[in-house]
Amino acid sequence: MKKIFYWFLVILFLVPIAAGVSEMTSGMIAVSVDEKIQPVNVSSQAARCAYYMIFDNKGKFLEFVDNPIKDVHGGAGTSAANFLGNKGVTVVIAEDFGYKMINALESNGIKFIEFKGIADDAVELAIPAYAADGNKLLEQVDRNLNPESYESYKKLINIEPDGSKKEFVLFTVKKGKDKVAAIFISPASEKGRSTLRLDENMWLYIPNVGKPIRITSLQSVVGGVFNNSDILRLDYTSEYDVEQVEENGDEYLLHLKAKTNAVAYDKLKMWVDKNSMLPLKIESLTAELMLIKTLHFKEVKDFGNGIVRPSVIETDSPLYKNYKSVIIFAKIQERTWSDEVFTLTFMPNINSLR
Amino acid sequence: MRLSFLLVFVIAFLSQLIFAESEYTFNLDETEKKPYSLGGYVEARPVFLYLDKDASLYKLKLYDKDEGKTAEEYNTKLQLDGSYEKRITKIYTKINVDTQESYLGWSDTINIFEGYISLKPSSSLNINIGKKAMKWGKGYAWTPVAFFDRTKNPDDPDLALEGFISLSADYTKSYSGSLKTISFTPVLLPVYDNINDEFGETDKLNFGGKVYLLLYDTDIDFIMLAGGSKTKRFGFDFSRNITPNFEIHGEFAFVNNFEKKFINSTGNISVDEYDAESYLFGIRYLTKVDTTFIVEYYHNNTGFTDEEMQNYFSFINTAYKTYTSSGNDNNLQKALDLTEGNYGRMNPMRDYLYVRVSQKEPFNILYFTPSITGIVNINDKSFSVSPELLYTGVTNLGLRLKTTFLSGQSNSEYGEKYNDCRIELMARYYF
Repeated sequence: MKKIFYWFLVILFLVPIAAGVSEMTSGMIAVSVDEKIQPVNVSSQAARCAYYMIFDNKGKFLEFVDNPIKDVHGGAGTSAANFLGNKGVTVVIAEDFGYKMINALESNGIKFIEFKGIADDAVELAIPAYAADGNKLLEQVDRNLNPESYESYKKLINIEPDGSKKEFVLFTVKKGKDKVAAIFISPASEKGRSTLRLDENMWLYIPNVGKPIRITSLQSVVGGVFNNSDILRLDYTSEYDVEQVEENGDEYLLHLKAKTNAVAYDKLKMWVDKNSMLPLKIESLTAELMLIKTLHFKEVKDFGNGIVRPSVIETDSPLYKNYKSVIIFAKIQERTWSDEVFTLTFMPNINSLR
Repeated sequence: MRLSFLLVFVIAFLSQLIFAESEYTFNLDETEKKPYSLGGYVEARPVFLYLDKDASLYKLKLYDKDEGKTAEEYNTKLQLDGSYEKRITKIYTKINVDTQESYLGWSDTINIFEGYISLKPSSSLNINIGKKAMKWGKGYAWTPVAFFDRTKNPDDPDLALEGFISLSADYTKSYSGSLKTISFTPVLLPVYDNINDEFGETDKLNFGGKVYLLLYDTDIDFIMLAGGSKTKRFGFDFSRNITPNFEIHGEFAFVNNFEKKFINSTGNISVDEYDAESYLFGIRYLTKVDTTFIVEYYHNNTGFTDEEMQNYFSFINTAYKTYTSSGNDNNLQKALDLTEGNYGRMNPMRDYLYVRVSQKEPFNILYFTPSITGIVNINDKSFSVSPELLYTGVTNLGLRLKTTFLSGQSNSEYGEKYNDCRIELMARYYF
């Protein structure tokens, strides 16, 4: 009898804990508002709003919660983020967020959405964030673009406003998440130049100079719209986290943020076709959301062995008005490489891998 | 005579004709690999010099010639690279042909810069035998740890250098973790009559090598040379990105029992023997608007002091006076002998600063890079400044216009060079 009583107590305690955990993991949406009415406008203050409207992850309204932080002196953003985190909120919506609150939300693993308008409309926007795990989607995009370890040929074409072109052909090899190397095959002026990237380290080897020198992802070894990170691109998942996913008909819009400041572009907006899980367009942005360049993915082609992906990427940039750059892909195939291929010592010999 | 000047325009014109109408296609033939390759470049480089007739080195070089205030040089260069590859074996050669028509007359040289066989049984191991340029060191303008190389020219550090005949190997291992790569490069370099005899004392088998580490995202090399042709030397270098757009690098070289031969103002030659420590520290910084700064400080303890350099210039001036009064050029010849490979080497003094600022594609002009380079001799405050315009917009063609101004007090390094200013136009066509 004692035993039964004991197990009853255990179950009694476990049920609410399990329910709480389930609620925590499923996540809730909090919208900052200043009045306890419906419909109500989203508040302009994320941390010092009067109330938070709490919705479940399907958009069902649950309750109004008084904001205990609204009158505190100093550190309101951090306190509000902690308060919401403790309540199991995983998405917060407000008209405007201060940078301290953004940092605190990110460290609590809470997504944030800036929205001006009716609270219920804002929640509609937030729901797709639960529909798909952004980073898993990005991983799928990466694998559809190329195998994790592969070889390929690329032709880079810079097209000037008067129609004149400059072309470069490269052979590229990649291994795992952080190793990629390339060698220029043509034109003659660039032939034999090789580039190597090991995570955030990048080198350029020029045959005449005879020794590898360190370069950065922001530089361009070919000039024009392309920079080194376009030539030595790692998987998107190794450089970016997905901050937000939007669903628009047949497309996802992924909002990507660079994991470190060593990445060439601080933010990316990637439009992905839902059926093929291939990118359609990518906008590269600065931290201040200034557009640097737009990549248009075109001409999906079967490269064999299950690799079906866009074979052409057209790039334009407001920084280079009327200039256009094109990358054409050929002979993408899965390969395995030894780690020693991706070393400074091997840079003069990359051509031997072809 | 004006062949190189004409060549500049012919090369520029032909390249425009050939490449104006290329197609927007990716023909798979372009990706086919052939076992052999042949390429290189042809270059024309006319130079106009404004001479400094009062300078010591003018008196030394041109004492028996009657040049005006200006002089011209017409230089051409052909550099051929060829290779043949089969399985693990590769044969490679780089041949350099220079011609020059100048106030000193006609000269031409043909050199095999490199010619070696490379065996690569695996991606970890590479064995090279033959004439090869090692190009060690992390410095851009100077590389005090490049013990197995010829000295590079800080006025044009990217030029190919002639190698030495050697046997070398690279053995590389990669790891995950803070130590990502380790490479061992042992080198054997024989010096006998007609084999590497420019390297140093003959009848010696020199040995040494390099250990390379990629440790905590930092490139580190430990380098040594022994064997007798030169005195023993050890060194290390490093390079690291502090931020993605800010790189630092450095070198330290220790030369055991370095022998310095110098002259006093009356012509007595002395030899000083001491352990010399040289070092270099540099940065490379890229701004958001694509301006690149390269700055290096070089302390060369094998170099001459202010006083030693002044004595050398005084001796030349005295020798020149003797020549003009008596026609006796013995002392000028003595100074010439001592200049070769000694006072006449690149940057022969002790402390230098190198600054290069280049702007990629200003005003959205693609493939156009203006730059300015300054080299300052910190010891005597003399300097050179070289503004430069580079255009690479036409496929396989490089065009460069470079002017160099030299300035300094009397008895200073740049003040006593034989010219005050040089203007050169270079057209280089790659094939």
